[in-house]
Amino acid sequence: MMKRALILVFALAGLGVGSAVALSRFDDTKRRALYMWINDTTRSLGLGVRKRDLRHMQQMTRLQDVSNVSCRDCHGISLETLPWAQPRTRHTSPDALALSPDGARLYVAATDTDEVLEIDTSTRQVARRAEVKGGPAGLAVDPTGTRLFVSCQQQDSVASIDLIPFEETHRAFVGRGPVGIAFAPLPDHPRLVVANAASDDISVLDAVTLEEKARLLSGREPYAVVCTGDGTRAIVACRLADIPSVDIPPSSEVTVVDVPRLRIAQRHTLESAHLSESAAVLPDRPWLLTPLVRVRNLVPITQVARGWVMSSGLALTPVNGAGPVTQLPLDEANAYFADPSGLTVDAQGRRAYVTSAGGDVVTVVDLERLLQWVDQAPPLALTNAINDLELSAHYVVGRIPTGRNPQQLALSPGGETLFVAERLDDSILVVDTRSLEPRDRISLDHDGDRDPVRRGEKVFTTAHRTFQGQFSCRSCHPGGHADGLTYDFDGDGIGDNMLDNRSLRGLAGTWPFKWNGKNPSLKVQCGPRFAKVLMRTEPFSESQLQDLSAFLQSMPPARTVHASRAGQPLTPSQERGRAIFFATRTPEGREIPRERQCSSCHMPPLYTNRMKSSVGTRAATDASDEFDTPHLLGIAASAPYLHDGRAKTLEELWTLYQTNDLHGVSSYMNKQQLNDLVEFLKIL
Amino acid sequence: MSNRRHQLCLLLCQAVLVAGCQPRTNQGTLVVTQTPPSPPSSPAAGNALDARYPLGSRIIAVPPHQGPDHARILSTGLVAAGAPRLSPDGSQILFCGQTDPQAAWQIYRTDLRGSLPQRLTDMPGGAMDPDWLPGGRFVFVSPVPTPYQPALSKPLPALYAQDLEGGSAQRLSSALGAVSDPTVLQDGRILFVAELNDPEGNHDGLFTVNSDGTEVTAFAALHDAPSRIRRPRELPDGRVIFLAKRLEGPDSVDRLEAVELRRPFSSREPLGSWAALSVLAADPGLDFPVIASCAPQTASELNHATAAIVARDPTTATLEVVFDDPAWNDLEAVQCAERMKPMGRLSTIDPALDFGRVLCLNANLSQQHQSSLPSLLPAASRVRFLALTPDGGEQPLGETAVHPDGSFLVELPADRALTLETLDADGQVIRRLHHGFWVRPGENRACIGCHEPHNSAPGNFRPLAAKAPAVRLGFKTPASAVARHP
Repeated sequence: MMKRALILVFALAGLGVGSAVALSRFDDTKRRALYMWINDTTRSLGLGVRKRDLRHMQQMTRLQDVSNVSCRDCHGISLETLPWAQPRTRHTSPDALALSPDGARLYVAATDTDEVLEIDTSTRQVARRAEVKGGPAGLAVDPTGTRLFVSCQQQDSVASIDLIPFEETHRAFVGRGPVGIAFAPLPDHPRLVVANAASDDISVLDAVTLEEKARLLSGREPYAVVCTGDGTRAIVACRLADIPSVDIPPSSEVTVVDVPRLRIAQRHTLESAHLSESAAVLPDRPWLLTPLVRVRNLVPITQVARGWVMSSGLALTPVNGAGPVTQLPLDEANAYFADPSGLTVDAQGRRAYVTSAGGDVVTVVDLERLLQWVDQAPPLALTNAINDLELSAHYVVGRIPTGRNPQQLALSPGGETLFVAERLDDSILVVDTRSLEPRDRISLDHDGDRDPVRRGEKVFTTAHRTFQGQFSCRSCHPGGHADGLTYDFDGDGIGDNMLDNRSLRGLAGTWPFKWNGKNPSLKVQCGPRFAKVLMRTEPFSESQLQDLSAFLQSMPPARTVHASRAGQPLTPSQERGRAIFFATRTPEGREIPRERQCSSCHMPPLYTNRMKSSVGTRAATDASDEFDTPHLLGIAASAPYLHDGRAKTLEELWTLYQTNDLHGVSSYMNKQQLNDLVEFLKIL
Repeated sequence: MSNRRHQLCLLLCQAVLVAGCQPRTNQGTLVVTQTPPSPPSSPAAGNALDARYPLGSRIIAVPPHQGPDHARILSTGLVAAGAPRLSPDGSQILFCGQTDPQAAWQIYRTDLRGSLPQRLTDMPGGAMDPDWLPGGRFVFVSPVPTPYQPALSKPLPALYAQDLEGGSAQRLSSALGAVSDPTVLQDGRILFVAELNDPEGNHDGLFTVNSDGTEVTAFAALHDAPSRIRRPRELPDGRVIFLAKRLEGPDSVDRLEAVELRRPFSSREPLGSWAALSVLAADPGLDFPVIASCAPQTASELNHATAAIVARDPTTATLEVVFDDPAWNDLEAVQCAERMKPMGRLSTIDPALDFGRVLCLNANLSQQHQSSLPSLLPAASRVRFLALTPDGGEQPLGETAVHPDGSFLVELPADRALTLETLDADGQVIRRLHHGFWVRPGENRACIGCHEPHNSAPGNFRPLAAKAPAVRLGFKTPASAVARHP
């Protein structure tokens, strides 16, 4: 027996050495893979681990017993092998709609397939397709109907399409992640106003040359733009709320741009509201309408009934800055219409149509009744209106069922036909607005449901699995990202363990999940406990969990570098920051303990070692001082930071919330060094 | 051998085809409770069910558009039966029945083919008003109330849930007055009637509770026209119908009323005209929104004196007889229709705990504070909790201070009938919760305020109470010294 074991050891050692020698010319990755294979194999055969390796593992994991730790836990990941780096099935999903001025043609932006489609509204057939690279996400037609402007989210640009040959003719860079785009018909200098969602600013372009005339700061994640009829004002609805202190209600912004003067005219705040994804100006009335999610993140989540976590509504904002913003509910006492997304108002200002992307309906609002109620209501009733779940019965006059995930809308010039983008069914619903009945459905793609990622996105975006349809996964993770808010879940007691909502982008390979690192897989994370604490219904089925997991892992990290800088070498500041991040000694030569080096816990390529760490951030109400080490891919886009979201910026991690150099050694850094470090982090 | 296998395959295929092609035989089938017009002489009605379903009462199934000649008896072997509720797939019914006149009423299950009923409960005081819960469970009420008997001499009827496949019944409700008529809503909650005794007098209200007994919440009909309420039922069109007998005014007959789910506290109204018929029961129908059992107030209304199943056409407002067996009183009917399964729910109860938590966001917030008028009441500085004992007494559990923002957070004994009083700085009672409440083990319960506005979502603020540990309140004497509700 002993003899056999010895032979095996020698054979393995020989094989290992032989292979190592043979692969000595190979790159680090392959050498590391072979080394790990040998190490894991010898351990699985019960032959132990070299003392040096044991010390390394104990030091890095701070565990004495490393029997359940594999080399691959830290070293076995390469970004190229992760699901989000793999090719995937593309779908012709309608992401934005725009009608030609005469209503004869409907233009559809399909982000996933890099296309813009032209649909003949009389035959309801796709007439032409144009390739528009870079994820077309927003559309605006000029009033003459000869040019179509397309915001390209992935390439940080705006493309101009000549509608006669239906070809792209111009393109210009704007801010990062442009989505909303609107044409401002100023008589002499027509402009385009573009909401740059990822860089939190607004580009104003010359509509003829596409030259950027101004870049204006907006609220967080500007998402939708609409212009007044004369083009003098552009209204930008923002999706995320500014990051407040943990105890202060968050508020998002509606930014009003003075287009001729190229400056901000007003900033309206929507208190405790966010996720506005469209906007409309009421004709002949000084009001602007935006859909919103009213969030109640400061209240402990003891229940979800009665809109305890969030509810849907509309914000009625004065265009000219006079008077308060009134928030009004779209939900009902016992039914919710989650994720209000698209909104359009008819030319007479009589009706508004609002999609519920999670509830799969279009809500029809009688604006005259709504405004009548607002005119008569006492001030206190206006303030509390959004919380009154019986109020919508006064002005909601219809709910039109749709296919999956209805988002953007377009209304024919006469208002008789409504087009609804059923995004995850790859179709457009045609609704007769007189009867509020569906008249037709235009199919853009087929067989979407064969794709597990697509099925998983359907699970992710549906509110039908939550009690009374209160919210979907997307309600807290718009675009798979994070809403930037902190919540108090009651599973661990009331008032304890406030938790920052983490981004779901780029999470493949970063298990375990949750801030306490308790969930080893996405199936556990999204399984029965999730149903018990949040959905308050039945858990997802096994197949739904599989699909959901496939979808979540298909999302790449948030892109934080402008497309014009992609592939460029690091700036000097970023280079210096990189050196600090990987430093083992301070500039003075002092050794930085291994466990406090940035790259020990935030180890490339995911920038996490997937272990728990204590970085001195435990609050009085926290149950533990150890928290999961988050990955840093796309970290610049996922503020706030730390487990309870107390740090609004990356700088604050070290300027306000560093304790005894526990979260990396930063006490030696001067302002420039800290800036350099942050500059490096921003490009991960 | 191969030939035999081939034949077997063919047979199987045929069987599958035949099964697949068969129409849903139950669709439209009426399940009717019939009571004899002249009940046989029997002991005086001992309890509510004896009176409602006298000896000889039975449950039958009638195929769509068929008369009494095609009826199949479903309550075979029982001396009386009633209150049938169809399973969501329409293949089975739950009902209450009695094996002999002296036996307690219990819950039974059978299919529509007429199989022998299977007894599901064994409750000492009897069981009634069953309905199907998601997840292979059912809800019912026990014990069966006894009219004319002093309320305190017997436990009040409460909600219970039990697995269909056996096991013991778990009590869901621990407070309010007598409860009755649970019905499971599409969202998975249990809607039920509770008897209240408050400043508006002794009347009924509609409440909801989750299938594990958590989150008991007022639903409708609490502050509008005090009434006796029976048989709430959810309609597919977003309304809840019920029978209400007003306690004020000369009108003392049951009227069919409805509230809208979207605004249950402000939409109560009578449901159509039923001519001179007296509505005995009403349920959702298949071809009509509502089918009702109606008794003629004069014999001429239905050409005979017994009750029949009638539907009201909502477009023409005319009444149509759906089923009538002149030899019997057709007391109630449910109709098979494809219905969505109610949403299930994972229980949030932690059986290892003997307490639940209550977080109040603002004890000073009430409906009055929603108006622009200044409140005449002083601000609460403390809250006193009391346990209601089965003999009608009260036992103090202790007091907690109210935080400056009006919030408080307490831990209270689970599964007890509880009430609370807000106190001013001098210890004088400002308000008292007239109908009690309960918390289940490990339940985290929250309210917007004492006498909170119904169907209002909370504001978005961090209550001060959530920043401090919960105050544990309990019995000064050992818990076992205080009788628990059975």
